[in-house]
Amino acid sequence: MTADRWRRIGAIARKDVEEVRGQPALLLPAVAMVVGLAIPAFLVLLVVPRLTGESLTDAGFADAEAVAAAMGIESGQLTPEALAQAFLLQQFLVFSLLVPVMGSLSLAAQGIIGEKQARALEPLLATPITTGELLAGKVVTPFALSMGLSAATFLLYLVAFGVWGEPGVWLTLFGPRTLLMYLVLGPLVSLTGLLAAAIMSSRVNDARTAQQLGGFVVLPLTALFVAQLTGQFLLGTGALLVTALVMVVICVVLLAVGVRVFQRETILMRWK
Amino acid sequence: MVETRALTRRFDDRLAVDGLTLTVGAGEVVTLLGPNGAGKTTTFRMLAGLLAPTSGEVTIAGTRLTVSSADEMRSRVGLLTEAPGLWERLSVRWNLRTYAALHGVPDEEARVALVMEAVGIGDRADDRAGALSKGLKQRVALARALVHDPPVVLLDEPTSGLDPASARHVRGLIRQMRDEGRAVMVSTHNLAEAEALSDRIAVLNTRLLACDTPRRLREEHRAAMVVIEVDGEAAEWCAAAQEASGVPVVADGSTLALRGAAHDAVPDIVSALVAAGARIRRVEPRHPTLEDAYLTLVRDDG
Repeated sequence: MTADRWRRIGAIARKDVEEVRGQPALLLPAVAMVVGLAIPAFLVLLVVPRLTGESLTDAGFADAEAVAAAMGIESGQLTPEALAQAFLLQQFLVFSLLVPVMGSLSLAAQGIIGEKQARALEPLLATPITTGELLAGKVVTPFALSMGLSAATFLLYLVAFGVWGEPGVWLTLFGPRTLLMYLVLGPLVSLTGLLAAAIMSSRVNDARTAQQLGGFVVLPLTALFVAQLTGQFLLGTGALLVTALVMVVICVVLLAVGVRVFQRETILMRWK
Repeated sequence: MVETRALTRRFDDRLAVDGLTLTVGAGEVVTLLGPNGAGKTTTFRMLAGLLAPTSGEVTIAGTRLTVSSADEMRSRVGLLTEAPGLWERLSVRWNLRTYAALHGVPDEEARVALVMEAVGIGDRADDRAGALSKGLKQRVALARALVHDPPVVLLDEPTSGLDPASARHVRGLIRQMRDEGRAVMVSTHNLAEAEALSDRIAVLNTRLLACDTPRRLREEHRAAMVVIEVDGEAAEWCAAAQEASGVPVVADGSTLALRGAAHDAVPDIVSALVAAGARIRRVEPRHPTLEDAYLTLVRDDG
C-alpha cells in the first residue's frame, strides 16, 4: 500500500473519530453491551454460588478437571472449585467475543449511510479516494472501538475474578487459549462483522438494516457458546487457530466483495 | 482546460446528456443554463469523474478522463455539489482539513487557513459546521472545492437559496476564481446571475442548444419586440398593425405585442395605426433579454 492510500484511509478514520468524540452518547450502547454481557458470567460463577452456598463442583461440574486439562489449564495448581470456575469462565469468554463486535456494529453500520444522509457522499467521492480506501477507512474507527471494548471486557473479568474469584482463576486469563481468543480471534470476528456492516451500509438505505445484517456474524458465535456450554462441543487452542485462519480468509473475501458491490454511480443516483 | 467531445450519458432508456461538445478555457466562466432535468448535474458529475460517460470524451487540463485515470483526475477538479454536504458535527477547520488530506495537499494547515480567509470564514474556523447559516455553509463548501487548488472548478447552483448579500459574496468569489486563471463552470437557474457572471452561456436541454456570450445569445436568439397600448380593445387594430409591421401581432386587452418588429419601423407602424383611427396611449420598444433568448431556445427545442 502506498503512503497516499494510508493517508486517505487515515483521513477518513480521523474524521470519524472526531465525530464520535463530539458525540460521546454514541458510545453508550457499547458500554452498556460490555457491562450487560459480562453480568451473566459474574452471576453464574461468582454471585449464585455465594448466595446459595452451593459450590460449582457440587452442582455437577466435577468433570471440569479433565476438560480443563484438555484446555491447557494446570489442574494441579487449582482447587477443584477453582478448576470448575476456570472451566466455566472459558466458556463465557467465547460469549465475550460478541461484546466488541456488537458494541461497535452501530458505528460501522452508520458508516456509508451516515455520509449519504449528510449528503456528504458526493463531495467525498469527488476526491481521489478509492472504494477500497473508503471502506477500509470506515471500518478503522469502529474496529479501534471494538478493540477498546475487548480490552475493557478483559479487564473487567480480570478484576472481578482477581478480587472475588477462586484463588488462581484470574491467572488462567493469561493462558494461550484466552490470549488467542482476545488477541487473534476477537479482532478477526470484529473485523468480519464490521466489514459486513460497512458493506451493507453501502447497499441499504437505513443503518438499522445494515446493523442487523452485519450482526448475523454473531449467530455462529452464539451457537458455539451454547454448544460449548452444553458440553456438545469444545474449542481447544488448535481449533481456535483453524477458526482464526478461516476468519482471515473471510475478511479478505469480504473486502474484495465490498469493493465489487460498492457501485459509486448507483449510490449517487439512487440516494436523493 | 476543459474539453468535452460528443459527451453522452444514458440511464437505462433515458438520455440525460446527448452529444455535448464544449470547451472552457483557463480564466473563463461558462454557465450551464437549462430546465430541471436538462443534464447539468449529470454533466458536472461526468466532468468530476463521478459518473462514467456512456460515450464521448472528457479532457481536463490536457489529460483524457478514463476509468483508470478518474481517481487521479479528481484532484484537478473542484466540485461544489448542489447541497453543501458538510460534516455538521465537525468544525469548519476539520471539514476542510479532512478534504485537504484526501487530496494530498502538502501543507494542510496553511492551505486550509488560506482558503478560509479567501472565502471569508476565517473567523468561524472552529465553529461547528452545523451551527452555520446556509450562506456560510455554502462558503465552506466553496472553500472545500478550492482546498486542493484545482485548475477546474464546477459549481452546481452555487447561490441557490442564499440571501442577496450571501449570493453577491459568492458571485464575487466566482469572479475571483476566474481572475486566478481557473476554468469555472457554473449551473444556475438565475438568468440575471448568469448574465452578470458568465463569459459564455451554454443552454442545455439534454443536448447543447446554444453556447455564446450573453450579448450574442440575446441578439441572435430573440428578436426585438414592440408593445403598443391603445384606447379601447386592441384586437380591433390587429390587422392594421400586422400589415404595417409585417410581423405577427398578439392583442391582449388594450395592448398589442408585435414580436420581431424592428425598432426603426415604429414610426411607420404608429402612423398606420393612427391613420386607421386608433388612439395611441403608449409605445414601448422592448430590448430582448436573456430570458427571452433562453425561453425561445428551450421552447423551440421542446
